[in-house]
Amino acid sequence: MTAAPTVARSSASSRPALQRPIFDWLFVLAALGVVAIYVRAIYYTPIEATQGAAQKIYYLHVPAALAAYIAVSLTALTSIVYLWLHDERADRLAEASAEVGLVFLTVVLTTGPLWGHKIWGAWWAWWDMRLTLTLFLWFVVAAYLVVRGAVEDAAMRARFSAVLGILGALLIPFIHLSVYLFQARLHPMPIVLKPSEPSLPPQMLTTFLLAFLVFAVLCLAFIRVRYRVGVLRDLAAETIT
Amino acid sequence: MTARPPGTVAAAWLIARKDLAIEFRTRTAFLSSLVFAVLALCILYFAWDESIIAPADRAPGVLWVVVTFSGLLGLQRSFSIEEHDRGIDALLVAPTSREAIYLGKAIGNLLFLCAVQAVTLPALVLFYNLPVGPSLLGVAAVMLLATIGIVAVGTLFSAMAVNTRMAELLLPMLSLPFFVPVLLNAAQATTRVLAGRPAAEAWPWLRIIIAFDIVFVVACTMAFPYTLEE
Amino acid sequence: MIALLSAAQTSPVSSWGTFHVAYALVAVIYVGYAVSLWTRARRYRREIESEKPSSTGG
Repeated sequence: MTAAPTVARSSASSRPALQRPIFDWLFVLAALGVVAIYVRAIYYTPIEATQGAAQKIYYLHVPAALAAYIAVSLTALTSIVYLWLHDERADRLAEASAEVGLVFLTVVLTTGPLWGHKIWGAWWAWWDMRLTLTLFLWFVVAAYLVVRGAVEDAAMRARFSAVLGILGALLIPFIHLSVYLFQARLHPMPIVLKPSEPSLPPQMLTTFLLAFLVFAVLCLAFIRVRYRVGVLRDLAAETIT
Repeated sequence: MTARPPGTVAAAWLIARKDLAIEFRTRTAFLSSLVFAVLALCILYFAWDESIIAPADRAPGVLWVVVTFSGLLGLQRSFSIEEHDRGIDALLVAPTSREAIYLGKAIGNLLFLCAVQAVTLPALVLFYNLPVGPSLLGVAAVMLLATIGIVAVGTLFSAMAVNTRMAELLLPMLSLPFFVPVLLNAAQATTRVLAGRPAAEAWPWLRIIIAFDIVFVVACTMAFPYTLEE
Repeated sequence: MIALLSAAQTSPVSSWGTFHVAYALVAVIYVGYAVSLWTRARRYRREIESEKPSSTGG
């Protein structure tokens, strides 16, 4: 009854996909890593002299930003690959990376103001390049996901998303330049002490580096999980039609 | 003897003329955008207390907010007019390249937006008590440069949005992040031009707009074929 | 603001409240996302399972 050829072609891979749990060893490893980082940041890393415990937020904020940039770069790259090879796996990976990237960007955008309000007395720091770029990246990735939700035809959706992914990547340097010029000309800021400067005591630096590693792995693990969810969704859509 | 199909530039110009001819016949979209822009200028005037910030100081920011949003209104129509009677199919069958279709639509949009802005700028001068002088020519130049960028991106996204169920919502959501560099730099450049500062002060901002225009006109022209049905 | 960061200050600003909120919020976001992934996977699996017998029947 249903499109038998397409079901047959994918049935070889669909059986394992159905049985296999979506959360794999990598994810469990990453999750344990996050717990370990929490423990280390809370109990085994010294409290910063002037900012108090709030400085520890930085161990979550900056690594999440790095992970988000990895995810979003992956979306841009797989978008190019899709336009070049028309492989639906590239499209699925682009979608998975974008969604995971949005989650990590949200973490950056929520921890940033929490930390900033305590330390600078201001909820939003427009002169903080990373925070402002992250904000606009959030908007672009959100638009990407909305477009994916709005287009029904799968091939058109993949093409539109790929175009948006590439254009979004082109946009980021312009946002960076514009905001940098904006804050440099209008708000010559004094040097802002950021605790992530290299002159960190070794324990803090180690926590930082470990946090970078853990969050990068968590990001990739989430992408793998989300990719599998995408496979399941496409299978479900196939069986329904 | 068979006529040779028009080259890309000629085809683009033909498409632009067709769109503008359609527009001129009814003029509703043009008049709506115009009225919206002028109304917005007036409404925004009341958003601030004039004794705290002088209207002339607010003018650049207000101008660019109004240009951006009236531009979005104007862009909405460029592909929606093809939806009626599936006009886009006729365009695709014609012996013109896909890129020519994009460029034609974009030029049509550019002329449309420039026409609206040609009324918006005098209205701004009127309502915000700006001095009339050569600085207005500088503002017009900034507006032209910025509108090229707005139109390049907006034309592509309106082609994409028209294929979805939520075109009116999707177009602003897609376009506005891309308008940010244009808007930011144009407002800053306009502030300096209106204040009578030397051109060199506005140049760093203008430079970014020009780079944006070049990059995105090329990128969107190349991307346009992917937004059409295969 | 900048004075807060000067080396002259020796006792840390008490900011445990903010710290707890931030760490809890981040945990909620990640766990919430993982749960949404699991829920979606379960829903798709159910859809596939329920369609399978009829796909062979026609």
